[in-house]
Amino acid sequence: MPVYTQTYRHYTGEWRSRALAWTVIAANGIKKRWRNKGFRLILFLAGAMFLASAARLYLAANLDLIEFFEIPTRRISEILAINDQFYYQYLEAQQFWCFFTALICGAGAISTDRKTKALILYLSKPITRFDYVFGKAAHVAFYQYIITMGLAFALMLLNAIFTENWMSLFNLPLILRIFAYSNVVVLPLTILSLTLSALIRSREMCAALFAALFWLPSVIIQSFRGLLGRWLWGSSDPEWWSLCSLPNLWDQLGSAIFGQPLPFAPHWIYHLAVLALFCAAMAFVLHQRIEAVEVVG
Amino acid sequence: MAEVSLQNVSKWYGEVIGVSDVTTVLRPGVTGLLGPNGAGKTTLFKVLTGLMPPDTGRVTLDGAPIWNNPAIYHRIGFCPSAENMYEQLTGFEFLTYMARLNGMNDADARERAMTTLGEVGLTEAAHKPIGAYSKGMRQRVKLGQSIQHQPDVLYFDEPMSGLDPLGRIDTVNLIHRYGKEGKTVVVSSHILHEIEEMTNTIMLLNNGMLLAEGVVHEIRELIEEQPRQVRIVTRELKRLSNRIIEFPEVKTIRFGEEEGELLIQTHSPDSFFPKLTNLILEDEIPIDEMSTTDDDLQSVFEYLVK
Repeated sequence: MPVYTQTYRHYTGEWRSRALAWTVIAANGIKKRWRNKGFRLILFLAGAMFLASAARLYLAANLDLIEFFEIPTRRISEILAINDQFYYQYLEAQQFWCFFTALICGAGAISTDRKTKALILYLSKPITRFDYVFGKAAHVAFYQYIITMGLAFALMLLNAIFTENWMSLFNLPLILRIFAYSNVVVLPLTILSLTLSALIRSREMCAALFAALFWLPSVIIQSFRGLLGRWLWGSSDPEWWSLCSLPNLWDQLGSAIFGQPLPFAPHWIYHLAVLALFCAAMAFVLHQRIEAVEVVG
Repeated sequence: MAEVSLQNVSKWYGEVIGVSDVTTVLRPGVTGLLGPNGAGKTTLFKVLTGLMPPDTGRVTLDGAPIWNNPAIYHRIGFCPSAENMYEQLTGFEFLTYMARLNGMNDADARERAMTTLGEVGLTEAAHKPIGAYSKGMRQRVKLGQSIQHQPDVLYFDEPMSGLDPLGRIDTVNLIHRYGKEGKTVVVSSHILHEIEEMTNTIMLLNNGMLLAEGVVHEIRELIEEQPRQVRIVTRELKRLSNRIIEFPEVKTIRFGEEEGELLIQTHSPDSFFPKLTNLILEDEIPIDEMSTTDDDLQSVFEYLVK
């Protein structure tokens, strides 16, 4: 055994808990995305509905301000009523921006690492494949949660401030509804975008396929219905086709969560089952892909 | 100090063999991992770093299994051969990120990132985006991410690729230093003189098999089927050749292109050299130069691989 110098150096600081390894990946993704001006513009536009809703909250709390429109107060109160439906309308409008956010954050999340073979760097560090995927998913979901759940809770807070009814902040059923519906929107988009990102190396191709998978089923179904619906079902359309498109699934589940009339005939449990199956299938593909990826390279 | 042990490690890609039944122990100091392209060097690194499991066998670091054991990965530093950089991040941001992935807190990660950028000669370019770096600078950053957390075991896969001459010298010095400190360092290359500059302890891989390991000239001595080549330059060429040809140890003898040059092949260097020394002394034959020409890395590599 040779004699070594006395300069053997170790890192003497403390190693962080490995349980939080995914947060490093998530935080890096969030920071990196925030630097992109185009993305900040998308977020700003996504905030427009929040501003409009905030204005409505303010007017609803200050009806005397719009008396000069000479609309009967009762009619105004009906229009500006702040109830669960108000929050559902807000969240429904955010679906569109969630789609764009997931598209921008998710398309390159894994595909860029695969293209640059950076997965080797990640996985040779003290992180697992689960940490890696969870960190990437957290990054993709973060901004979507901000523009859905985050801003919906901010609206609840504004409502409490404007009406000085602080007890409205503790409306647990509404909190749960916002939480549930936000997850119904955010989770499938996040998993779908990450799975495509793991399957396709080109960020642009991944984004295009994501958009196609999101919009095309609705377009195809509606065209199909227009052409053959009457011939197939006569006047009693069972509307099972509503199970085949993500926006339809959201509409049905959102209405069920917020206690609104259901837009489609089949029971919402079918829509929930399809959404859960979709997420599970995507998660399985993602898992298989990350397990297999980069071992040969 | 760390010891990495491989026991009967094999790895296949379908029907293609990546690494075949490798058993060895990697100890403190620098070991050169040699082999032609496709020999299995990168596969071996991936198994050593826990990037993929061996199909058979076991890889351990100080007794702890490496596969699926991320808790010990901060003891390992890996500089892969592939280009894998985030173009938008600056060198400083990239190293900070990598240090945090290794488990350092934010303050330590920043401090270590800056120190490491100094070590790899990139202090001035620390805050420039990696996209604006030259190939050599990218290689240095990649090298930096492998050493910044001061691991016990360091794996460098083709670390010199893309480096300018100055960068090569710096890298050789850096690897030397880590070896001297007592870190377990494995450096791969298919360019022999690069390895020769760093170490004379090698592992030779070909077609996934470990053909030889140890110190170069010791390996050479073990290759019995290849006669040792001796080169002598003398002013009394005829007298020396007439005497040497009588030695039973001599397989071939021929005159070289240079004036007074004699090239000898022997199967038994152990008995040939004492006899030659006696001859020179007894007959008072003047010798200008004498050397063995094939116990360098190049020759060993050629004998074993070709």
